[in-house]
Amino acid sequence: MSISKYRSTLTKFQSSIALFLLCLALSLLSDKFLTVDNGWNVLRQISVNICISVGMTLVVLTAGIDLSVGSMLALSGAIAAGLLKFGIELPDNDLYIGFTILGTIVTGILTGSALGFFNGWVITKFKVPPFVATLAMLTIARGLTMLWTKGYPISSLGNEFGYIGTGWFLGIPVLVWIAAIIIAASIILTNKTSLGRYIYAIGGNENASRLSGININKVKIIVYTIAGALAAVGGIMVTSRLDSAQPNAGMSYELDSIAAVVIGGTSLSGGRGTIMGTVLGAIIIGVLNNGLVLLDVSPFWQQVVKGFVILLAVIIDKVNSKAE
Amino acid sequence: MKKGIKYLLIAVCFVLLAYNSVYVKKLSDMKKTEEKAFDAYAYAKDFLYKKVPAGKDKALDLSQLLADLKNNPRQAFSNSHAQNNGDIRFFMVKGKGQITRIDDSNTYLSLPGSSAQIALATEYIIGNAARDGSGIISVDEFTTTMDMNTVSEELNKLIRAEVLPPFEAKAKQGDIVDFTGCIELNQARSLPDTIEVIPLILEVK
Repeated sequence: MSISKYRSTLTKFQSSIALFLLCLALSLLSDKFLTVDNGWNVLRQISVNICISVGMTLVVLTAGIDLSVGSMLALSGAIAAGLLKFGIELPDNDLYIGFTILGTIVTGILTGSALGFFNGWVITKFKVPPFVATLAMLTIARGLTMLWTKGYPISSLGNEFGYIGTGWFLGIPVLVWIAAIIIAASIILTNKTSLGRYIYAIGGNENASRLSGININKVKIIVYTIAGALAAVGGIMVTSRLDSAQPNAGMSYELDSIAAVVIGGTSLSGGRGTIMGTVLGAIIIGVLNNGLVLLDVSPFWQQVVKGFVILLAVIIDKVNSKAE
Repeated sequence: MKKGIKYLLIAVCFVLLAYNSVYVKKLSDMKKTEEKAFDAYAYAKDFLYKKVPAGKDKALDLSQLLADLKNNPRQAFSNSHAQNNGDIRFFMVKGKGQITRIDDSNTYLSLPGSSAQIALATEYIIGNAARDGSGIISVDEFTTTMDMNTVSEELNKLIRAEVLPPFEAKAKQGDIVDFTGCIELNQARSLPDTIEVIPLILEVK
């Protein structure tokens, strides 16, 4: 095998190799790591990050970034929880509008979609860099969450709603099912639809895409809307799992999702990457988090380790890009 | 024609979704039903104004408890309460301390005979400490865990709305405060430098 072929094979499987080595090391260091319970625990924990990271992958593939996913997650989850618990009271008309679980899920996802749409609109209409536009949304959505919740958690949402976050279906946690459905749908979107091809094209060369007739602004708005909707799905999953919408939910989730995307091999300059790569990245981040907790590493050191892992992933990406 | 069918299908889906998403009731009927259901507010009020004062004598002296936690934590934690067997444990405590500092989130006290800093929470009244610290409330009293969780919420709201405002209006640095409240400690971790107390009864001397 020639060196270039060897390098290309290594690059293709770098995330899988990293995950394998990580699991091997952790199973040697902790006897609790390779257990069925811990396996389910890790899968449930990463399900939320997978949902957000899939949306982030689409954004990054267009050479964008979305820093507001954590805040959108919090606001969508809080709105869903608030409507489920309190509904809407209209005393003047002696009316109470209650929301079913389906209703709260739909409203939560619509909230996330609307916020994502706004991100996309600002980015394309006013040519605001995605970093700045989504940073602004990060603050706006967090502020709106605080206003909606008045700074306090909305708890006790009922067992039926809790089933999403804690229930099992056919021997598999519901959260894992949701993540699996989102993965499958996004793989189809990126590989089998024209929208998927446009996303890669825009990230690869925006000018060339424009000249070839792709409606860049429309695609970007759709991508940010999907990212918002998936953040909202994550918000509903977190809220259900905790039986509570926390005003500070999702803080720094954007970093975990960017980490999953980068570790999964998606290029931050756009046009290159896969959903499965991101899923592997999210699993690596989840396993790393879990392993550090099992090894009783201080949370402060966990941040440091995670930071270095992200840095390493970006450096590897740069080296690979140069080699190509 | 095809477009028409497409829009018709979308409209039908939308109507079905909306029909299954929301329901409308008379607000007055809703209130009546709520009144018949478990009244967490009344329960919390009864607990705060009747059961806590009646059981005040059973609250542990905070200075003594802190000394015990240093000398024999296992023994000290045997006097704690919680609704499960986890490491998070709650105590109902009492004491008398002097206000050393007041900020937006806490009123800080010094206790005679103790070097620990006591922070009476005045902003973030959250969690289950107020409900579980005394050990008076048992999970068996409730039909659903939701009812029990609602008691925590209502109790925290009552503390914010009724216990804290008169205290905050009166308290100033140097005042002596007689307090009964609850603390939350993790028995797997070492004792924090600042002990946060969720207040139940506060009296400025």
